[in-house]
Amino acid sequence: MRGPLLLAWKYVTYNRTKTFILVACIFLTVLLPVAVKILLDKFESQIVSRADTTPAVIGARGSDLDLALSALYFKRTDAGTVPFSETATIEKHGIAIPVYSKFTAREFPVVATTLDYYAFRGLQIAEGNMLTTLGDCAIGSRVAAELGIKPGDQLLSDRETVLDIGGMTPLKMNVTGVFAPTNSADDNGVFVDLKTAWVIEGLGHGHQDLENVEDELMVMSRDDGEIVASPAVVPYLEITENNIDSFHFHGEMDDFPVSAIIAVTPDEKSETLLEGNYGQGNATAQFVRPSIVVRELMDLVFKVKSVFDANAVLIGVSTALLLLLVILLSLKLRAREMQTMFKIGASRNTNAKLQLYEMGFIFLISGILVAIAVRVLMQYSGEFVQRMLIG
Amino acid sequence: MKFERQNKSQILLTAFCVLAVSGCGTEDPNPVNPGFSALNAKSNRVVAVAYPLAYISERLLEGTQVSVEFPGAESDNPGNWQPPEETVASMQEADLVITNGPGVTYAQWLIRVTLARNKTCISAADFPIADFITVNDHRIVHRHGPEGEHSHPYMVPYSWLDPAVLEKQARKIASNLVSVYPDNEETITRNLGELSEDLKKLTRKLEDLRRTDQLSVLSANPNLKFLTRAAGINDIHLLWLEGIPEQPQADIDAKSAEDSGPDQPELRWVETDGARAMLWPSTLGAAPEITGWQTINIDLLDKQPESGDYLSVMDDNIEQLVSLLN
Repeated sequence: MRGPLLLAWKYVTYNRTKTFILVACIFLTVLLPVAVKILLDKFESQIVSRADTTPAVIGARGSDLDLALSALYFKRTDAGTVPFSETATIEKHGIAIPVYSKFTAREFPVVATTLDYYAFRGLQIAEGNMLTTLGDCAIGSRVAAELGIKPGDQLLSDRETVLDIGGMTPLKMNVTGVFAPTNSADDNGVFVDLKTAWVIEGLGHGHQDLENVEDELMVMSRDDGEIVASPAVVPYLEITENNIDSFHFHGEMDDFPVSAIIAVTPDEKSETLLEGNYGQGNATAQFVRPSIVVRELMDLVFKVKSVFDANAVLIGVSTALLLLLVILLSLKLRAREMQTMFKIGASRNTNAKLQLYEMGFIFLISGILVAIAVRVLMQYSGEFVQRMLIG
Repeated sequence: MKFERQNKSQILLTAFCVLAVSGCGTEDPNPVNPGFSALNAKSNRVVAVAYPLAYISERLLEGTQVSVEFPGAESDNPGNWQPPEETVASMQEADLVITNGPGVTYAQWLIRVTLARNKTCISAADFPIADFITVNDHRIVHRHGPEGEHSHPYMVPYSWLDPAVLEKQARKIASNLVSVYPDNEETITRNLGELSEDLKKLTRKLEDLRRTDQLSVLSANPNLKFLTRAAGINDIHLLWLEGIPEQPQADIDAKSAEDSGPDQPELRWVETDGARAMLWPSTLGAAPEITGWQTINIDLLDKQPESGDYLSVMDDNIEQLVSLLN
């Protein structure tokens, strides 16, 4: 490097404060809209790909979006529940995969579903074994990493509220396996059998054998083969080999709740017929295509983004004008410096080059910084968006 | 020159036709959902939770490449055991798990394990209400949990002791097997026809036992009711479901007194050499000596018979009733 280029570089490195301010101005002005675009593209690709692989969801009537998010991301929403018996309607047309995500375990969603879900999402056990028994759970890779849990450990479900002392009894679940990472909401789930979630809910439980109980305080009355249990009978908090035989459910399983049911039909015709079932006025549940719901959501997001884009353009223009002002003021301040350059033989052209190179260096440094930031952002945007979606 | 022009036209026409045909071929009006195909991968294995269901499945799948497993054979009590994890994992890989289903729940452990829902065959799903047998004098009342007070009547699970009922189950199992293995439809349908004939023979033998003057027998527990109902016998049951009580005689005397009270219709007991007949389910083990009662062993077919199969054991059971009633 020599001549005006060297002089320009020396000027830029000598006036560090001025250079830093100008570089920061350009860096932030360019990075902000670029970062938003990268994150939004990632968000769109992730949410759309998960929605596209989920052909249809059936759930309580109400918000389409709440239902789709509950089935796709196990969000605890106000979407309500449908009875388990709804699966029978779906099974006339294809495979029904119920999902119940009402509970949490150390703030991760407890996702109660059937074995079909794992085959449907392509979830593979990376460590340990698949859940086999009531009270078992298999956890997503992020749950295992963040909680430091491995197969053989136990995980306690959370109470619905901290103040709910007399309410739902937490269940100590046995971790049987950890799923391989999928970079999806499934990494964040604590997967259990539906029946285990119903035990957490109190619809099923295990307790001492009342026919052979020694402590008579446990029994309110015995009459002609009928045994009335007293409130002193406390349900077991964990399911073990010794007490599993005592677990039973109260009521009809068909009436038990699920948050949503993923419907996987063999072909489009069956899917359309299934949709027809829920299109009638007296239908108690609704049929939702997550791909459509998510695209509607994305349309809304892009409308907001267009406002943001216009804002970014205005900020860009104002930054450019500010830069111009800084350069013009700088030229005035540096008039004596330019005079000196003339006196030692530098042409007008050389002076112009000097100014140009100085700005070139500033833009170059800003460009390099933006490129580095974009690269970092691209690398971590998937994880960032995933966290944002899972919440 | 003329030939060249003609040749060009032919080539263009052929190319147009090829494009048109290939265009038609690629557009499937009703494409198969790949997610559905992934959920329907086959292992050519079927699991039955009770021996008679395994027998039915084996008969239906005779001549196919599909194998039938009965993991309960490892247990002394296939209806209420806890299968080891590896057994459950193996069941999870099966194409179909054949069960009785609600109302005739035999495998009580099913609610305690994780199995694929869409791969479970509920063979009693098409039963009319009249087919189920409820025992109202055995129940536990609970007063805890969100549901408040509630009780569970005992539902008799041994549906296969009535061959006519088992035939309905066989039809349901066959229809499920055809859905899973559509390529074997012809074989399964033919096998179902042959199996139905065998079951009908047993049904006819039981129907021949029905009389206008209904006779009564005492049963150690209600588990024989599918058999006694099919034979038209009035089955007065005790509640020895968990085992023989410490004082069986006292239990029997109390039951006899209760059913012979002044406000009760007079019972015509089946008697042999002055001793009344008491049906004894195989699950209770060896019958003790009970004064005034002669016990007749009935095999509940919980386990695979050491010799013979479902048909021969049921035939023996029916023969016992024939000799008793005649």
